[in-house]
Amino acid sequence: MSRPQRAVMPLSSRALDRMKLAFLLAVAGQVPHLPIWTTIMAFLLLAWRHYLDRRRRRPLPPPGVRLALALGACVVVYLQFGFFMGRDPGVSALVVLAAVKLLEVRQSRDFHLMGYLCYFLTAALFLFTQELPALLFGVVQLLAVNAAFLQLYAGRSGSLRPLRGASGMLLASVPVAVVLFILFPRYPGPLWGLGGAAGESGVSGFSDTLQPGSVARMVESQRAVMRMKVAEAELPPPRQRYFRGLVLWLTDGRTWYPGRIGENIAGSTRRGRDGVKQEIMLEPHGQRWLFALDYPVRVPPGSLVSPGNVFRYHRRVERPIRYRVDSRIGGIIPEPDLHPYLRRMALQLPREVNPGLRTLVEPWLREGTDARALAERVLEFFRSAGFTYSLQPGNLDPRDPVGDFLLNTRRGFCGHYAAGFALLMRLGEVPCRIVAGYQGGETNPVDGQLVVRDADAHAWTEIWLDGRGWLRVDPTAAVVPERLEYGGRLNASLDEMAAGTAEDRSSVLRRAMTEGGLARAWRWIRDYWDVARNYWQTWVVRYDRYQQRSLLSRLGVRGIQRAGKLALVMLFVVFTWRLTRWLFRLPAQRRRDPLEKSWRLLEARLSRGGMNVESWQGPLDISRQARRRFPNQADAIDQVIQTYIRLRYGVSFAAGVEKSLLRRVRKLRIPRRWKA
Amino acid sequence: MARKRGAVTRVRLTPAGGAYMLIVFAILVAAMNYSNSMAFILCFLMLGTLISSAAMGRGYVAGVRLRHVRIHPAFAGRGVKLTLELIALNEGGRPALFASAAGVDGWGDAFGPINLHHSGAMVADVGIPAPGRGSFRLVAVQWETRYPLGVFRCRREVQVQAPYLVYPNPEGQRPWPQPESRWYDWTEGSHMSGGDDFNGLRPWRVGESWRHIDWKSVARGRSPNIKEFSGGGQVRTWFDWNHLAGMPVESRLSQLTRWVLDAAHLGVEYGLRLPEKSIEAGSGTRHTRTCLEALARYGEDQ
Repeated sequence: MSRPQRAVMPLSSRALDRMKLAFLLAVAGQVPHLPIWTTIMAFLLLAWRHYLDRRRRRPLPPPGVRLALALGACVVVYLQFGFFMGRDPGVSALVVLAAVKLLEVRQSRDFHLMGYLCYFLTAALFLFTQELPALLFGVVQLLAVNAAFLQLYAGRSGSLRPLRGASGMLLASVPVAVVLFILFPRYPGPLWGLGGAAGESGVSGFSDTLQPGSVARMVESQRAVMRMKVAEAELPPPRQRYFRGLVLWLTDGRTWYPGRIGENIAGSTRRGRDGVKQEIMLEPHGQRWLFALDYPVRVPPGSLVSPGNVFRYHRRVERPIRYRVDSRIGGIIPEPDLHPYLRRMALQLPREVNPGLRTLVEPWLREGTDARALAERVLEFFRSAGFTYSLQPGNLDPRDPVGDFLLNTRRGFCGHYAAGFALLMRLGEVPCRIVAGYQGGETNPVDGQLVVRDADAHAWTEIWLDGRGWLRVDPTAAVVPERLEYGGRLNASLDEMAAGTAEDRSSVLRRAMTEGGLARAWRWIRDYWDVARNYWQTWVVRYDRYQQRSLLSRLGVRGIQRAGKLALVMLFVVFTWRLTRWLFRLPAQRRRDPLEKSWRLLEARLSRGGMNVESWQGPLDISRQARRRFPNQADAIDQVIQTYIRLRYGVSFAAGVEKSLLRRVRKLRIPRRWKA
Repeated sequence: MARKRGAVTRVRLTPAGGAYMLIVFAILVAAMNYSNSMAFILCFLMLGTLISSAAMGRGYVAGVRLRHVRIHPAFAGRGVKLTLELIALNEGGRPALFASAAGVDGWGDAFGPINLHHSGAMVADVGIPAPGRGSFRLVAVQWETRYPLGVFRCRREVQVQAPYLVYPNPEGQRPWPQPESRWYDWTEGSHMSGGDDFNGLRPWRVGESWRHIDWKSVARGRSPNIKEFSGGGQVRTWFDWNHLAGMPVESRLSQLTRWVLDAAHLGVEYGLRLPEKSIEAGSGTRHTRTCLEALARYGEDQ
């Protein structure tokens, strides 16, 4: 038997309005990530469509115009990016073409396509960001699209609330989604590369070079960059919390560079087994540097060790990563001797050195050439020659910033002091290098982890002591010793402190460290938010095969086979199914309608009384017929039928009346008569 | 009331649902490729929503009951009209439905979208094809929805047993047969062609044509009376199978049907003579139906 002709749902303007809202939200999510013209163009096309819909009679733009718009959009995307492959141009093209598509939505088929494009845009949003707020926004987008579909397929129903329906469905889908998320097998690494804007994804953090002023931008930010889990007993005191990141050897007088060092230069890195065991969660910074307490002796597999006791990730850190590392705490990295190549690098001077600096160093050199004594002399110079710590050091001579700083302005922060110190040491023939990283960090009281923020960014130096190794010297500490104790929290007050006397300094320090109620509340929120984010990153964003394995064994289901997993998923599918039925109060299959029951009973009574109840007869027909047939019961029957009609077809609805109707039908006294 | 034999609810993926699955799959591949947990979450939520939407659509159509089927009289070639009375048992919303019915000759077109009334009932007028006259039976009724996402077509099919008749298509050009007077009484001054001599008034009886009601007196507030004309009301006509000798069977039936309908329209008395059956002269709706039924069932017993 052939099936009936396909029924097509006509597109209603209410449904279309909801779809426009869904598209608006989907594009809004892309605003921070795409070139601004892309989203503006999409919004304009959306507004155009909305305008045409408002003016009822206005026809949609003809196919030629739409084709021209689509081609134009492609050309503009190509002009912007120069290519089509990759994330940014791909998503840009998707946004713009979807907006053009919106101009030709006429039937439910186009409507579906539009909704599916919105799903894709939500997925594309997650290519840019995987933070918790992004997921929440993505869920809102999903709800908006589903609500548009619900509106379409609800038809003219007045009692359906599309958003409520969509929320209920989403809620019901959570159990099966969670179990799938946990159990779905994860594979390492990409199947193919992510083209397009990878390195320039806008993550801030350390660049691989250091200019004296470059840290200033970072120290203003309170963003958490690193989170460290370490046994409480092993956590070094604040003064010792140097996080080693990268070592800079070479300078041209303005900028410091790591330089290129062959991996075959021996003796440059010490390894060991014992040390402070750390588990570090590092936020993406777009470079390969990994940080650890100074100095790491055992690095995680998959990372590369570089000379200078630093290590690098095998690729750029573009998403949060977690690693374990062991470090030895102490101010000196013991090494027996310095490779001649490294010695040359550690003594390298810019081509032009300010002669004023040479005259500055000369008298100190005459006192002795001992590296430690010279370092002490330079630090003494910083302490006594009117140097101040400031995050707004003013402009330095761009050709010779270090000389200008040391001889004239004498205002600067860690980058300036490290660069100045290193240059002076090298002028004194002492091998010296700059180490960049973080110093400080504070323990989050909520989960006891050490949180390091952008504001804790720091640069310090190491000098070579023959026969002993690299000794850490932090010239900034000579100027503001409190910086070591209190880390980045102090930054805002450091300018003020530097200006005053010793008493002033301690009072400013007290003020900086005591917080008002609002600040305490803010800190409290921040602490909890940090912890939530950490869990989010650990258990959701970074949920990989290792996390999966550890979670499954923690849940005690690690050993289950594939069949077992499938069974578990099926169980949750059933659960989602039942949850949906419960949420929307869908009736059980066998439930009988009480009105139906009353009507059947009435029909049975009437035919028992000898009346023919035909298939084509409605309640009114039957009422008329019964009136002729049973004149004595006519009024009672008529009343029952009128109540039935009111309940069945009327606008008011009362549950109690249905039961009383059944009672009244039972009470009817219809004479029994057998049909001939 | 038609008796229900069995009911079955089916859920099928629509083409749009296939596209939805493809998108879920594409997002899954992207999630695996980029190890993107958010994309995994989106993909699994979409899958869960798919399951939930199937439960929703199925639960809804399964909660709709067919309470009543009314089959309207139909003539061959014009399709049978049915009025379905559907009831929704669930307390929640009532999304759009499409309804259709099937006779032995197959399914009629879908009717919709209809929204059941919020207190639960709704009628849908569906049609089934009726190519020829005869007695038939309704086989099945179905209603479907694509609510909520359009990815599933949830359909409930109910087997029903409801007989109905399709009357022959009324057509034919043969002239009206010679009527015969009821009383062959020429002496009272009535004559065959006469029908316009006013004879008096008598009360209107149920089932009589309204054509001769004295509407002026009704307007004055009296009960309806029939204006009797000498001859006009007392002429009876016999529609005889044998008058149409030489014509094919179905054409004869069509011609007879045409006459019966015309006669019913004019309100004259008429009788029907078929080879197997003869129906005494009469008038009124019931008489018309009896004649039409006899025409529809012609030849059934052989």
